[in-house]
Amino acid sequence: MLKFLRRNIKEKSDEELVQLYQQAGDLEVLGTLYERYVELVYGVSLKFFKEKTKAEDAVMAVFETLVEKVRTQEIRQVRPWLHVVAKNHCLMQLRKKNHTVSYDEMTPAAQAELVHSAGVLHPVDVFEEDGHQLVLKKCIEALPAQQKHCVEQFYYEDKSYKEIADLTGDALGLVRSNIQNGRRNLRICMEKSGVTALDQ
Amino acid sequence: MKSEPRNKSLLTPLMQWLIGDANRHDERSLDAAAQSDPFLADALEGYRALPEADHVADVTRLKAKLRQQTQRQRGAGFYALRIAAVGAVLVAAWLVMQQFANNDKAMVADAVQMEAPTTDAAPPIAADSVQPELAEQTTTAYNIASDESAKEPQKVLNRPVPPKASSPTASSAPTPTAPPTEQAAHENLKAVADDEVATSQADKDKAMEVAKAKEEAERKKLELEEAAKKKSEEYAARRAKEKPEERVPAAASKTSDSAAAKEKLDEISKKKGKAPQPRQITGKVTDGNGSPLVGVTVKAIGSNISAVTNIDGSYSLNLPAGVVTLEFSLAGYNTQKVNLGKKNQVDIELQEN
Repeated sequence: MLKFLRRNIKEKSDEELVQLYQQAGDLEVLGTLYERYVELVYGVSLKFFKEKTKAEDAVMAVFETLVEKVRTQEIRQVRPWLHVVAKNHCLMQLRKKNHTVSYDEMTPAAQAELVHSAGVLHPVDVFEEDGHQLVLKKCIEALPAQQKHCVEQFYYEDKSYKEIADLTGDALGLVRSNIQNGRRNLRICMEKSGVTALDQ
Repeated sequence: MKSEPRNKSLLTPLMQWLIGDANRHDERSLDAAAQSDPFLADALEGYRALPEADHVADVTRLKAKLRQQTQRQRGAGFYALRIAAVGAVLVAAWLVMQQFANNDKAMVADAVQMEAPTTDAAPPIAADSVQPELAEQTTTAYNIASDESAKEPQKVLNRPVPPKASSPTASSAPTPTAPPTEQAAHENLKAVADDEVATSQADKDKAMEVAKAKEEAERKKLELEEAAKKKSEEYAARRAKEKPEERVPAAASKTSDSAAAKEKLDEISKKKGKAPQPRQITGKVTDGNGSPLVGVTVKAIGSNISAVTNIDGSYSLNLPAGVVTLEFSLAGYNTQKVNLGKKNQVDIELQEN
């Protein structure tokens, strides 16, 4: 029986795994399910805590709550359900620890910075298509050297983060940081030049 | 079970992005996906908040931690079951040893009677006169046997004479020893079995495992009993063969009963010739890293004999002739079959599946 379960466990859908866990209470089944979401839950935790250790603790703590929750609750779709569980856990922790910080208070900055439409998040894509190549070119030239290099490699050479990192010898994180900051600076530059994604 | 042997195509787009294996197109489709998936959008936001951190290492570590946690708890239960199974086997083995000892005595005592069913009063004397060699060998057993019967005189008197005894006078003293000791061993076994049943009721999860182990132990016991029986038969037969000249005239001069005894012996020695030679196979089962695997079922294909490896990964099987293949199986590992050939020791490695 166990052998049979183990072999097929990886191919089962999330909802099937939930059912299995509800029937047998096998932690390995729950672990297999949660493993599929670790990177998502960790990312969400990072968003709220902005700190590695706290986010890691949150990932493990959420799993602990699942041991009971998945057994007792009716779950139609795992993905959105788990998102809410993870988010709520982080919010609870934040309320408990820093009494004053709430989700509303802490997110606007991050949201303003990061949660844009895909278009604005990727100014090169958008402005290129909109026929603002010249302004874009000027703004890219104005970027700090490292950011400029990374943005050019990423957007005009179609290189992946890893390939750029290999090329420059920088850490992957630095490349990611350079591209992200480069994009933000581009956006600001373009807006200053009177071009916004939504206009025209 | 295996740690990240997934190839690139199996990675989620998010993981692919995290390891840096995403170009502008990949990233754009990832962000497009995030538009309709708030979970992914939140996660991306979180990762972008700390762009320089080594997210992949953190995620990998978290997954390993998670796996360790879920499998340790599962493993603990498994371990308990294995220990229970090994314990049951050990108890059974102990019982078998006891049974073996008793059987040996009883069988030898029986053999003495079969050989010397004379009308003489005391069987040891009769045995002595007919077959000094054999009697010498069996005196010890006989003495122990009579000691035991002396301890339970009441029982001996009440017990009906076993049908195997060919002469009532001869059998009255030594043979009844077999039934009481056998019965004692049986009661012993029953008590242990009852104990096992009690524990298995306490833990339903263990019930199947324990029952299996018990079954196995029972089988093993029967097998050993069989071997013991054969051994004593063989022994008697060999003794008889070795001294045929001395024995036959002596027996003939005594009574015609010894002729019957000889026939019986011939029958036994014929049987011995036919009986397949049992062999004992031992060995050790390890995993890919060389650490012992506990609880591996070792099955002799073509028979109902099997064993379970102990805490050192070792096992031991008494095989009837004709078994040429062993099968090693354990949940989570690839089942492996091994041809025995002439080997009496089979050490193998099981691969995780």
